[in-house]
Amino acid sequence: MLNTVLISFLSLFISFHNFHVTQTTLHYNNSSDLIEITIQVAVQDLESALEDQGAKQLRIGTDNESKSTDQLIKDYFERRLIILPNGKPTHYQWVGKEMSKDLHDLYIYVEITNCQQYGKFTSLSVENSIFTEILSDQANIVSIEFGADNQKLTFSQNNKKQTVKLGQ
Amino acid sequence: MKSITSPNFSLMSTRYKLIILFSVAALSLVAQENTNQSKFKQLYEELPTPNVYRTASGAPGHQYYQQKADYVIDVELDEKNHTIKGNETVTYTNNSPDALDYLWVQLDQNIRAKNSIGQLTSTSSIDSEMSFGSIKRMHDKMNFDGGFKLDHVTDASGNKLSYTVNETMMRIDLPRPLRKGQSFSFKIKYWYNINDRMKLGGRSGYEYFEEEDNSIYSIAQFFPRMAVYNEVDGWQNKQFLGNGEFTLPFGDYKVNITVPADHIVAATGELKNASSLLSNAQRKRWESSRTSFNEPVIIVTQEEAEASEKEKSPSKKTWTFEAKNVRDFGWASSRKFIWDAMAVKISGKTVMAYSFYPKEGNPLWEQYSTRVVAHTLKTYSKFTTDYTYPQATSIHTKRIGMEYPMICFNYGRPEEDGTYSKRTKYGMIGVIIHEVGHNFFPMIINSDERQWTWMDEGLNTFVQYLTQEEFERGYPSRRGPPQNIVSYMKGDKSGISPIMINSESILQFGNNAYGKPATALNILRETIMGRELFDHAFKTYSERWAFKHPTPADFFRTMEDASAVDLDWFWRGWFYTNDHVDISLDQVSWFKVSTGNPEVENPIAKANEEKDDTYIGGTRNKILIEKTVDELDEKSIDFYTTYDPFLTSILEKEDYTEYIEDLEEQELALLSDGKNYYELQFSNIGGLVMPIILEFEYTDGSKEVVRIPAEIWVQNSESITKVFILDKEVARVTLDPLLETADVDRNNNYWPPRMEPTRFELYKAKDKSKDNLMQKEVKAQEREEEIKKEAEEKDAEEENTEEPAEDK
Repeated sequence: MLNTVLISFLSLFISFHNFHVTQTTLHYNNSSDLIEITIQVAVQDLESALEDQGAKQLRIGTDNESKSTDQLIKDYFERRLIILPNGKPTHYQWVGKEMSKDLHDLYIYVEITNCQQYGKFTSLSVENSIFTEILSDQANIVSIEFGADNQKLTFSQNNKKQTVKLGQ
Repeated sequence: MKSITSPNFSLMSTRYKLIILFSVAALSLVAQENTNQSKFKQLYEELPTPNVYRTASGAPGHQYYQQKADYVIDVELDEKNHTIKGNETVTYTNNSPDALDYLWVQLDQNIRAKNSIGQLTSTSSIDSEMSFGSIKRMHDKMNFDGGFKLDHVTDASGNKLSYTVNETMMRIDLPRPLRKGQSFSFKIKYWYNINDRMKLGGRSGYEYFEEEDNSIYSIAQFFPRMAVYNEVDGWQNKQFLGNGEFTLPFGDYKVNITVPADHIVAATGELKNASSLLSNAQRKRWESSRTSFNEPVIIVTQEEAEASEKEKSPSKKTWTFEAKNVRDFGWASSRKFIWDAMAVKISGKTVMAYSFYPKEGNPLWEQYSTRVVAHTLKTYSKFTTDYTYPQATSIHTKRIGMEYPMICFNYGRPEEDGTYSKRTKYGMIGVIIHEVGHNFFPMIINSDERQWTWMDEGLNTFVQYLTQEEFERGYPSRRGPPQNIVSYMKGDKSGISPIMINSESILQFGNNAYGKPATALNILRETIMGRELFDHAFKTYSERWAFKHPTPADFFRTMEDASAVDLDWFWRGWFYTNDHVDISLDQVSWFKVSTGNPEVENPIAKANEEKDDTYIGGTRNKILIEKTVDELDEKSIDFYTTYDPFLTSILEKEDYTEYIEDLEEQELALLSDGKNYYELQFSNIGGLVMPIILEFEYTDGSKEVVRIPAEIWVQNSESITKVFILDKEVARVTLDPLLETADVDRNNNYWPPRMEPTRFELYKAKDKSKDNLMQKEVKAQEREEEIKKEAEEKDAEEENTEEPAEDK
């Protein structure tokens, strides 16, 4: 396997007043046994990422939004934001999405149901590579709120997977 | 204040009596280390020592100087090969007291040269799932032959000068030292390949319209530019790596721009040869725009631009622009340009607002661009310093926003069918305000961008927010309101740098250098200084440093010097650390003053005890046990069975009378005024000290906001208590009720405690009807039409059946 490529790459999408940070909150809701996931991304970056994969003008959050948008978004985040409680794979249930008041960001809501099946949480692995395929300066911040466990992680192109211990 | 001899407070929820002192009763927990760690420590160690160039008050000193660089540039655009050829004469004047052996010149285009420092030092990795487009862009970027190609560097007479290029910087060795007051002229002949912005990115470049084989050129950093020399950095010759923008001296420019004859050119400065470039009709329209203060006048129409697009002139024309006292020069050229103009009055002088855009920008650009330029000039002039340049131009450039003196490049393109989303509209208005606003920071108030991004971006974003608020009520502003910075400030600290950091080292550029300083200034204005003191100090800074080179210390010092507000703690916390605000309202205790009168206090104490005794078994037994033994059998009774501790004895009465007689009138008044004493406990979890703003909601439903300055934390920055004397009984207390301090955790801001719902919960609870607003509006209109129609039909029916009126 060839693994010695080193390529210098600055993004096409660089705009001098647009910077690339996403914020994700993983909140374990004990009473409904859900991991509630809120992902905040810049609409422009999300459109660029989906269009980079071949999607045609999505017009996210507008009146002319493409019908396949929700499905494309869900598929994208299932590949680029992987949540592994106790190392076990999960699937997202779509909850919805909404624009921020300033029209700059999109909030995406998904959840992981029936979390008891994963057993008592002892660890949580997160693989976060949101937009790193198109933006070299992407920073992805994740807040973990599992009961008393509050942790914050930062992901980037060079740091896409992290594991934290829970219930220590 | 006279001390009260025996203040006797009783905690109402229990019968426990205690004595407290009447002040902030907290022990200092500071001084863990043996040095001064106070958050209120003055910034003597952080700020440079004041000197004759920069005073301790933040103003330019009596020996302040700055260098001057004047340019005469001939530049030619080759549209076929997308190249720029240039020939410049730079005249550099040394106003410093130092003799200079060499000059440093900036070659910013070299960041695009193969194997440039910018390319080599940008980190990168391969994603498992890269698209073809991403890989192609990587190749394009690596294969682009960018950078200045220097033909020669000579003195004014054409003699070769010795020079050395180090990446994006060039040292020219002077034949003899340049002393104070002397000037030196040199010439550089050069050319470079222009980058395709849409493929390679960039602050300037061209956008190619394939279908019609036309381009829009937005051209900047197109000539070797003088670096700044001063007493702060010597030569500011830090390499251009991409993030830290530019640092440039002021000077006068004459630029001759040669382009295809059918192009329209916009640039920094004033056009000097319009008569040979524009038609009579166009010049007449331009003339009439100079008195059109309310509405833009179209100078080059869409029809004219569309006609130009269809053919290509083989000949060339030269546009001559002149600009005085600017720090840079930018221009744009295309045969696609529509041009409109409007006049703006700034302190009695007329300034022109211009926009240049292709038909692809309409209808949005025709309606908004020039109006927004005009509004921005007026608002910024009010809050900072008068705009004294002759014009300000907004150029339509897809995807980017970038600023130069008097000219800026702004995004915002409607769909092909001419419709546009709300996001496109407000994105465009916001970027125009921001980039035109850069005329003030850093073009006029000329800070060092290579070193400090926040000094122009942060201050500019702050005034951008004020300008947006004045543009439209409810403007969807992004950066400014404190609650919008919370998600950044509470994040992982390893991903957050302090504001006071070099431009290249910033993590989360937008939040760090734009959002946080803009928010900090907004908090100073609304909460810490108040609008009057803040606005005066901010304007003082702007006016002091207009057409000069300020540093962070000059800003920090002026804000304090002009307002008499010690802000060292604020700069220290908000600009030198990555702490956040999280103040917790830990406890609320309620006290009332005991009157000391047994006839008043004993019944209260009795009532309290009875109130406490509400155990369900006891309550039931009161009814269900008909008689107890002592009630049935008199013989079981003794002294203790019937003794009532709450009955007032004659001895207690005598004690009280004696006590009262010893008190002075004021003390007596205090005993009988019935006030409520609330002791509130706060702890500082986040680290940043901030004012404490409280809303008391009383049991009668009324509310009151109490504001306490941040200095309450001066002796103990970790936990404090404070007593409030209130007429009414409190039902609820809210900390930071008006969302003005960027407190990241509001769950500890309430008494009684209350949890705020998460964003996820709020969304789930929301009515998510599928209707979008426009569809709703259409439905509403249809329904209104229906109702109107029904009413008309009814009227018509009634008219038909009505008897003819007799007196008609």
